[in-house]
Amino acid sequence: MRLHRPSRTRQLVSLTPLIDVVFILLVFFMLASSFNDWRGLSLSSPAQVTSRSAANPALLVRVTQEGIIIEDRTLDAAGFETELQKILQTTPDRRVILRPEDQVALQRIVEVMDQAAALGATNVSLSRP
Amino acid sequence: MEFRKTEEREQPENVLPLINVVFLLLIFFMIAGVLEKADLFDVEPPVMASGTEAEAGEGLLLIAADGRLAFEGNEITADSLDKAVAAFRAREPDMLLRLKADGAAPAEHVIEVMEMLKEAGVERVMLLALERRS
Repeated sequence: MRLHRPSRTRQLVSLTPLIDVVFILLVFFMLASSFNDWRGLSLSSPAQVTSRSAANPALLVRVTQEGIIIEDRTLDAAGFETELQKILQTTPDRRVILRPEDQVALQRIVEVMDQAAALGATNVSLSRP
Repeated sequence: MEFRKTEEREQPENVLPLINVVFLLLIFFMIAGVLEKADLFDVEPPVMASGTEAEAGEGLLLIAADGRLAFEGNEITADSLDKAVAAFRAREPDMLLRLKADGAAPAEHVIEVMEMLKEAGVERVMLLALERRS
């Protein structure tokens, strides 16, 4: 007896074009997508230093490239931290006004805002010289 | 003369694992990545540790390191800023403007732009920054 075996070879769909397209899609998404974690900082509008109330006078912080000037005293980062901590302990909602001195980059201001936020200052605004 | 034909049938490489991996990569990049509109010029935002998750805002204002401005993909000058914003504000009166400024830009200039925005009637401004990776 002779059994007729059907031929097993089936026509394979050519996978090469599929792989091509998928590779192109992959490259597109790799180049076009970004994985940045965006942070947002709600900025209070630039403050008017002149409008000060006697009950809660604003603390003017002048930011220079090297350090920070509070009331004509030049402080480094650590000194600013202890100073601000002391101030915030007595008046937690003290208004803090950051004022950049001569051509300070934005990154520097953001660093000082970071510092202030870490210490719990909630009322931080910016002003221009 | 008889030539011996070499066996023409090549063993098909097994491409299925390759396709599987490529598909996985594709799906990863499609889902995990975010497609963003390219900026008009190069802006390297400042790095920050505090701040909240950035909200989706209505308008996007770029400030380059050399002080050039661009609003919603069009380069503008400081004088035409209020006009550009006003047209936008007519549609969205309570707009939240996202401010994407270069970290190397002079802070004074950024604050100046913020003052101009306030004069133009934009009350809510959010400064965009990248998260500091520790």
